[in-house]
Amino acid sequence: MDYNKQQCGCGKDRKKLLCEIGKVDFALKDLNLYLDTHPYDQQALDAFGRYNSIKKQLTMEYTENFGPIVLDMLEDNCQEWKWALQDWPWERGYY
Amino acid sequence: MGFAGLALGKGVLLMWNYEKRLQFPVNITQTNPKIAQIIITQYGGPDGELSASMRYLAQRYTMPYNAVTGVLTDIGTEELAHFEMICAIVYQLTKNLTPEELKASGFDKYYVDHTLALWPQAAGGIPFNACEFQSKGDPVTDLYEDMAAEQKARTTYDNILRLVKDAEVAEPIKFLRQREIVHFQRFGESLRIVQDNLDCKNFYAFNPEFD
Repeated sequence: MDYNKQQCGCGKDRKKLLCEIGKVDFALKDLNLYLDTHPYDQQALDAFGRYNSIKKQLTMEYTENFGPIVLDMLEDNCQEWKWALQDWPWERGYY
Repeated sequence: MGFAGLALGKGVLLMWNYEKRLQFPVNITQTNPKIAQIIITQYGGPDGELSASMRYLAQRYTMPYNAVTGVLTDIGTEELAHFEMICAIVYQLTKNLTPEELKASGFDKYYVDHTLALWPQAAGGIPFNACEFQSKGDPVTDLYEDMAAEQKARTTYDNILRLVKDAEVAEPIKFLRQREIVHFQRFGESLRIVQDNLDCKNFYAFNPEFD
């Protein structure tokens, strides 16, 4: 059993998807810090909501195809604890 | 880091969620224990990420302004993800070293105490020390400390980038350097929020964390 597959059945690339999640989360983190000191900026509030739903969507896609990134989102009908079976992010080639 | 870390004010029960990914990719194919010995300072050194995280997360409990407590919580949380990146860099730079490589690089002195495990120390071998961060209990004092800390970390990254030319190592270091500048900006805004709440004729008339 390959616990760190790089391509899913439908041809999606694991690293590419993880990179997309990282980019969206970077925008969220930066907006998060900005909103802490500008809590009434409607444009930033809207952007946070928008990126938040994109991140949720991408994370769901990643989880279904490759395994969990966060424990409050698991793949449907999961039969094994991939969280602990798969590599951890500090290993080469995880990114 | 997880959604639970977002903008929590005082009196909220806190917990953290781990996200199984790095904030910025680290994939180093060439080991280099000499460089690892330098970069480890941003884990356990005086201006490292561990010290940054502990500094902000310690200061926030007595911070009387919720927006500033949010900044301390959220930057303190981001710093956890930063020392994970630093540890990943050191780990990959020292993976599978042979005894000969250890001796030749000077990493043998670290190895004898820690093998190839991660341990927070400065580049010169000085262990991580809580004296390296301040939690003074005065918001003006603490925010100046935090702004200085971000600049000291930025200088350290500049110093590292003069020594490291390999893009696989330099790119994540450049990302971390940029974050120091963003954090400095947010702490500057936090200081302004604090001062807006004080007596504009004398910011030092009283300490809002105590008086």
